[in-house]
Amino acid sequence: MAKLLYFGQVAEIANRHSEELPIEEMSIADFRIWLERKIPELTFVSYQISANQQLHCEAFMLTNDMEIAILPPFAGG
Amino acid sequence: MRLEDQEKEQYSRHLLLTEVGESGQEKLKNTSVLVVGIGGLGCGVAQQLTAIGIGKIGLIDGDMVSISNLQRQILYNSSEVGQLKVDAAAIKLKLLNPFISIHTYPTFLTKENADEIFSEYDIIVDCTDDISTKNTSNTFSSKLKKPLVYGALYKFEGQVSVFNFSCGPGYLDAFPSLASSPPIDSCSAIGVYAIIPQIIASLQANEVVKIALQKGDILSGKLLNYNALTNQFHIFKYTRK
Repeated sequence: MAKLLYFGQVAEIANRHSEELPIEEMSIADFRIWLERKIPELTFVSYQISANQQLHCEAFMLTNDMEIAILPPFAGG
Repeated sequence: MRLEDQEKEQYSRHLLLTEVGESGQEKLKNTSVLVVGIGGLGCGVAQQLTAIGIGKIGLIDGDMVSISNLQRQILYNSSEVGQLKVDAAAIKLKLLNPFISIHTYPTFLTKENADEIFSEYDIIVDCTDDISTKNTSNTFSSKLKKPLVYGALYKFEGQVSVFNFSCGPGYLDAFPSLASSPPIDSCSAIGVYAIIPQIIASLQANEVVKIALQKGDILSGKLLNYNALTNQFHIFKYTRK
Protein backbone atom coordinates (compact mmCIF):
# COMPACT_ATOMS: atom_id res chain seq x y z
CA MET A 1 0.00 0.00 0.00
CA ALA A 2 1.19 3.53 -0.76
CA LYS A 3 0.77 6.16 1.94
CA LEU A 4 -0.59 9.43 0.52
CA LEU A 5 -0.03 12.67 2.48
CA TYR A 6 -2.05 15.78 1.65
CA PHE A 7 -1.09 19.35 2.58
CA GLY A 8 -2.69 22.80 2.59
CA GLN A 9 -5.47 23.34 0.08
CA VAL A 10 -5.02 19.79 -1.23
CA ALA A 11 -5.83 18.33 2.22
CA GLU A 12 -8.87 20.58 2.38
CA ILE A 13 -10.13 19.40 -1.01
CA ALA A 14 -9.37 15.74 -0.23
CA ASN A 15 -10.97 16.22 3.22
CA ARG A 16 -8.13 14.31 4.90
CA HIS A 17 -4.44 14.64 5.74
CA SER A 18 -3.45 11.10 4.77
CA GLU A 19 -4.72 7.75 3.52
CA GLU A 20 -3.30 4.39 2.46
CA LEU A 21 -4.20 3.13 -1.01
CA PRO A 22 -2.92 0.47 -3.41
CA ILE A 23 -1.38 2.06 -6.52
CA GLU A 24 0.07 0.52 -9.67
CA GLU A 25 3.64 1.41 -10.65
CA MET A 26 3.34 4.64 -12.64
CA SER A 27 5.13 7.89 -13.39
CA ILE A 28 4.36 11.06 -11.43
CA ALA A 29 2.74 12.46 -14.60
CA ASP A 30 0.38 9.45 -14.74
CA PHE A 31 -0.19 9.64 -10.98
CA ARG A 32 -1.48 13.21 -11.46
CA ILE A 33 -4.04 11.95 -13.99
CA TRP A 34 -5.06 9.10 -11.63
CA LEU A 35 -5.29 11.48 -8.66
CA GLU A 36 -7.32 14.10 -10.55
CA ARG A 37 -9.81 11.39 -11.64
CA LYS A 38 -10.16 10.44 -7.97
CA ILE A 39 -10.37 14.08 -6.79
CA PRO A 40 -11.46 16.21 -9.81
CA GLU A 41 -11.15 19.56 -7.93
CA LEU A 42 -7.36 19.10 -7.92
CA THR A 43 -7.37 19.91 -11.64
CA PHE A 44 -7.58 23.56 -10.60
CA VAL A 45 -4.74 23.45 -8.05
CA SER A 46 -0.96 23.73 -8.51
CA TYR A 47 0.90 21.04 -6.55
CA GLN A 48 4.19 19.15 -6.37
CA ILE A 49 4.58 15.45 -5.68
CA SER A 50 7.25 13.91 -3.49
CA ALA A 51 8.18 10.26 -3.11
CA ASN A 52 9.78 9.23 0.18
CA GLN A 53 10.36 12.88 1.17
CA GLN A 54 12.05 13.87 -2.12
CA LEU A 55 10.46 16.05 -4.82
CA HIS A 56 10.90 14.50 -8.27
CA CYS A 57 10.37 15.26 -11.97
CA GLU A 58 7.27 14.08 -13.82
CA ALA A 59 9.01 10.99 -15.27
CA PHE A 60 9.94 9.55 -11.85
CA MET A 61 8.29 6.15 -11.23
CA LEU A 62 6.13 5.73 -8.13
CA THR A 63 5.63 2.32 -6.53
CA ASN A 64 3.15 0.84 -4.09
CA ASP A 65 5.57 0.91 -1.14
CA MET A 66 6.22 4.66 -1.19
CA GLU A 67 5.12 7.59 0.94
CA ILE A 68 3.73 10.03 -1.62
CA ALA A 69 3.11 13.65 -0.59
CA ILE A 70 0.97 16.11 -2.53
CA LEU A 71 2.22 19.62 -1.78
CA PRO A 72 0.73 22.90 -2.98
CA PRO A 73 2.67 26.17 -2.63
CA PHE A 74 1.27 28.57 -0.02
CA ALA A 75 0.78 32.27 -0.69
CA GLY A 76 0.02 33.79 2.71
CA GLY A 77 2.39 35.90 4.74
CA MET B 1 32.58 46.03 14.10
CA ARG B 2 33.20 44.95 17.70
CA LEU B 3 30.59 44.85 20.49
CA GLU B 4 30.35 47.77 22.91
CA ASP B 5 30.12 47.07 26.67
CA GLN B 6 26.36 47.78 26.76
CA GLU B 7 25.82 45.39 23.87
CA LYS B 8 27.75 42.67 25.70
CA GLU B 9 25.30 43.04 28.58
CA GLN B 10 22.25 42.97 26.27
CA TYR B 11 23.49 39.85 24.47
CA SER B 12 25.01 38.21 27.57
CA ARG B 13 22.90 35.03 27.30
CA HIS B 14 24.13 34.55 23.75
CA LEU B 15 27.74 35.18 24.74
CA LEU B 16 27.47 32.20 27.10
CA LEU B 17 26.67 29.84 24.22
CA THR B 18 29.75 28.26 22.66
CA GLU B 19 27.89 28.16 19.30
CA VAL B 20 27.51 31.97 19.39
CA GLY B 21 29.92 33.63 21.84
CA GLU B 22 31.44 37.06 21.24
CA SER B 23 32.70 36.24 17.75
CA GLY B 24 29.29 34.91 16.71
CA GLN B 25 27.48 37.92 18.14
CA GLU B 26 29.86 40.15 16.16
CA LYS B 27 28.96 38.20 13.02
CA LEU B 28 25.28 38.94 13.71
CA LYS B 29 26.12 42.63 14.23
CA ASN B 30 27.97 42.70 10.90
CA THR B 31 25.08 41.05 9.01
CA SER B 32 22.42 43.00 7.10
CA VAL B 33 18.95 41.54 6.47
CA LEU B 34 16.07 42.84 4.37
CA VAL B 35 12.57 41.80 5.48
CA VAL B 36 10.18 41.96 2.51
CA GLY B 37 6.60 42.45 3.72
CA ILE B 38 5.89 43.52 7.32
CA GLY B 39 2.68 41.57 7.88
CA GLY B 40 2.20 38.45 10.04
CA LEU B 41 5.52 36.84 9.12
CA GLY B 42 7.45 40.08 8.72
CA CYS B 43 6.52 41.42 12.19
CA GLY B 44 7.77 38.23 13.83
CA VAL B 45 10.95 38.00 11.76
CA ALA B 46 11.83 41.69 12.23
CA GLN B 47 11.20 41.58 15.98
CA GLN B 48 13.37 38.50 16.51
CA LEU B 49 16.22 39.69 14.30
CA THR B 50 16.16 43.06 16.11
CA ALA B 51 16.25 41.46 19.55
CA ILE B 52 19.02 39.09 18.54
CA GLY B 53 21.25 41.93 17.29
CA ILE B 54 21.35 41.74 13.50
CA GLY B 55 23.27 44.98 12.83
CA LYS B 56 21.29 46.38 9.91
CA ILE B 57 17.65 45.56 9.16
CA GLY B 58 15.64 46.83 6.19
CA LEU B 59 11.83 46.85 6.20
CA ILE B 60 9.95 47.13 2.90
CA ASP B 61 6.16 47.40 2.70
CA GLY B 62 3.85 49.99 1.15
CA ASP B 63 0.84 48.89 3.19
CA MET B 64 -0.89 50.69 6.09
CA VAL B 65 -1.89 49.14 9.43
CA SER B 66 -5.52 48.02 9.44
CA ILE B 67 -7.66 46.81 12.33
CA SER B 68 -7.76 43.26 10.92
CA ASN B 69 -3.92 43.10 11.13
CA LEU B 70 -3.89 43.33 14.94
CA GLN B 71 -5.02 39.69 15.37
CA ARG B 72 -1.52 38.49 14.36
CA GLN B 73 0.80 41.36 13.35
CA ILE B 74 2.37 41.85 16.75
CA LEU B 75 4.34 45.07 16.19
CA TYR B 76 1.21 47.21 15.76
CA ASN B 77 -1.45 48.58 18.07
CA SER B 78 -4.91 50.05 17.57
CA SER B 79 -3.70 53.66 17.74
CA GLU B 80 -1.57 53.06 14.63
CA VAL B 81 -4.38 52.04 12.25
CA GLY B 82 -3.89 53.99 9.02
CA GLN B 83 -0.13 54.54 9.54
CA LEU B 84 2.51 53.05 7.27
CA LYS B 85 3.51 49.62 8.59
CA VAL B 86 7.23 50.29 8.13
CA ASP B 87 7.00 53.49 10.23
CA ALA B 88 4.99 51.87 13.04
CA ALA B 89 7.30 48.83 13.06
CA ALA B 90 10.51 50.90 13.04
CA ILE B 91 9.47 52.81 16.19
CA LYS B 92 9.03 49.55 18.16
CA LEU B 93 12.18 47.96 16.82
CA LYS B 94 14.37 50.96 17.65
CA LEU B 95 13.04 50.90 21.22
CA LEU B 96 13.77 47.17 21.46
CA ASN B 97 17.38 47.52 20.32
CA PRO B 98 19.08 50.92 20.00
CA PHE B 99 22.38 49.31 18.93
CA ILE B 100 21.22 48.37 15.42
CA SER B 101 20.15 50.41 12.40
CA ILE B 102 16.65 50.14 10.91
CA HIS B 103 16.03 51.29 7.32
CA THR B 104 12.51 51.69 5.97
CA TYR B 105 11.19 51.50 2.40
CA PRO B 106 7.53 52.64 2.29
CA THR B 107 6.81 50.94 -1.01
CA PHE B 108 5.94 47.53 -2.38
CA LEU B 109 8.67 45.35 -3.89
CA THR B 110 8.66 45.51 -7.69
CA LYS B 111 10.90 44.37 -10.53
CA GLU B 112 11.91 48.02 -10.84
CA ASN B 113 13.15 48.56 -7.25
CA ALA B 114 14.26 45.05 -6.20
CA ASP B 115 17.75 45.17 -7.68
CA GLU B 116 18.77 48.42 -5.97
CA ILE B 117 17.26 47.57 -2.57
CA PHE B 118 18.41 43.91 -2.44
CA SER B 119 21.97 44.93 -3.30
CA GLU B 120 22.21 46.73 0.09
CA TYR B 121 21.71 43.53 2.14
CA ASP B 122 23.41 40.17 2.80
CA ILE B 123 20.26 38.08 3.34
CA ILE B 124 16.68 38.57 2.05
CA VAL B 125 13.66 37.26 4.01
CA ASP B 126 10.45 36.83 2.03
CA CYS B 127 7.39 37.50 4.20
CA THR B 128 5.05 38.64 1.42
CA ASP B 129 1.46 37.66 0.88
CA ASP B 130 1.34 36.78 -2.81
CA ILE B 131 3.04 34.39 -5.21
CA SER B 132 3.99 37.08 -7.73
CA THR B 133 6.06 39.06 -5.18
CA LYS B 134 7.63 35.86 -3.85
CA ASN B 135 8.68 35.13 -7.42
CA THR B 136 10.18 38.63 -7.76
CA SER B 137 12.12 38.13 -4.50
CA ASN B 138 13.44 34.83 -5.83
CA THR B 139 14.43 36.26 -9.22
CA PHE B 140 16.50 39.10 -7.76
CA SER B 141 18.02 37.13 -4.88
CA SER B 142 19.15 34.56 -7.45
CA LYS B 143 20.54 37.26 -9.76
CA LEU B 144 22.45 38.94 -6.91
CA LYS B 145 23.51 35.56 -5.39
CA LYS B 146 21.96 36.34 -1.99
CA PRO B 147 20.18 33.72 0.14
CA LEU B 148 16.39 34.10 0.28
CA VAL B 149 14.65 32.77 3.40
CA TYR B 150 11.14 31.89 2.20
CA GLY B 151 8.07 31.65 4.41
CA ALA B 152 4.46 31.13 3.39
CA LEU B 153 1.18 30.36 5.13
CA TYR B 154 -2.07 28.53 4.44
CA LYS B 155 -4.61 28.75 7.29
CA PHE B 156 -3.08 26.46 9.99
CA GLU B 157 0.02 25.46 8.00
CA GLY B 158 3.28 27.07 7.01
CA GLN B 159 6.27 26.42 4.75
CA VAL B 160 9.90 27.45 5.15
CA SER B 161 12.86 26.99 2.83
CA VAL B 162 16.12 28.77 1.90
CA PHE B 163 16.50 29.53 -1.79
CA ASN B 164 19.65 30.46 -3.75
CA PHE B 165 21.99 29.64 -0.82
CA SER B 166 25.54 29.05 -2.11
CA CYS B 167 24.16 28.64 -5.65
CA GLY B 168 21.61 26.12 -4.34
CA PRO B 169 18.09 25.58 -5.74
CA GLY B 170 15.44 28.31 -5.82
CA TYR B 171 11.69 28.87 -5.67
CA LEU B 172 10.93 27.46 -9.11
CA ASP B 173 12.99 24.35 -8.32
CA ALA B 174 10.74 23.65 -5.33
CA PHE B 175 7.58 24.61 -7.25
CA PRO B 176 8.28 24.38 -11.01
CA SER B 177 4.58 24.42 -11.91
CA LEU B 178 4.17 27.92 -10.43
CA ALA B 179 4.97 29.54 -13.76
CA SER B 180 1.74 28.13 -15.20
CA SER B 181 -0.31 27.76 -12.01
CA PRO B 182 -3.75 29.23 -11.34
CA PRO B 183 -3.88 32.12 -8.81
CA ILE B 184 -3.38 31.10 -5.18
CA ASP B 185 -5.38 32.90 -2.50
CA SER B 186 -3.66 34.95 0.23
CA CYS B 187 -4.55 35.31 3.94
CA SER B 188 -6.90 38.24 3.26
CA ALA B 189 -9.06 36.02 1.02
CA ILE B 190 -9.02 32.71 2.93
CA GLY B 191 -8.17 33.60 6.53
CA VAL B 192 -5.18 32.63 8.66
CA TYR B 193 -4.80 31.17 12.15
CA ALA B 194 -3.26 33.92 14.33
CA ILE B 195 -0.52 31.78 15.92
CA ILE B 196 0.96 30.25 12.76
CA PRO B 197 2.78 33.42 11.53
CA GLN B 198 4.80 33.57 14.77
CA ILE B 199 5.83 29.92 14.51
CA ILE B 200 6.89 30.18 10.86
CA ALA B 201 8.56 33.57 11.46
CA SER B 202 10.62 31.98 14.25
CA LEU B 203 11.74 29.24 11.87
CA GLN B 204 12.68 31.86 9.25
CA ALA B 205 14.64 33.93 11.81
CA ASN B 206 16.42 30.74 12.87
CA GLU B 207 17.57 30.14 9.27
CA VAL B 208 18.85 33.75 9.06
CA VAL B 209 20.89 33.30 12.25
CA LYS B 210 22.37 29.97 11.08
CA ILE B 211 23.35 31.52 7.74
CA ALA B 212 24.95 34.50 9.50
CA LEU B 213 26.79 32.28 12.02
CA GLN B 214 27.63 29.59 9.45
CA LYS B 215 26.33 27.00 11.93
CA GLY B 216 23.95 24.05 11.72
CA ASP B 217 21.97 22.66 8.79
CA ILE B 218 20.41 25.22 6.47
CA LEU B 219 17.04 24.49 4.80
CA SER B 220 18.67 24.78 1.38
CA GLY B 221 17.17 22.23 -1.02
CA LYS B 222 14.68 21.34 1.72
CA LEU B 223 11.06 22.45 2.05
CA LEU B 224 9.76 22.34 5.63
CA ASN B 225 5.99 22.08 6.20
CA TYR B 226 4.47 22.60 9.67
CA ASN B 227 0.84 21.97 10.62
CA ALA B 228 -0.29 23.70 13.83
CA LEU B 229 -3.39 21.48 14.18
CA THR B 230 -1.55 18.16 13.98
CA ASN B 231 1.81 19.38 15.41
CA GLN B 232 3.55 17.64 12.51
CA PHE B 233 6.74 18.76 10.79
CA HIS B 234 7.65 17.31 7.38
CA ILE B 235 10.79 18.06 5.35
CA PHE B 236 10.97 17.38 1.59
CA LYS B 237 14.23 17.52 -0.35
CA TYR B 238 14.51 19.05 -3.82
CA THR B 239 17.33 19.80 -6.23
CA ARG B 240 18.15 22.38 -8.89
CA LYS B 241 16.27 21.57 -12.11
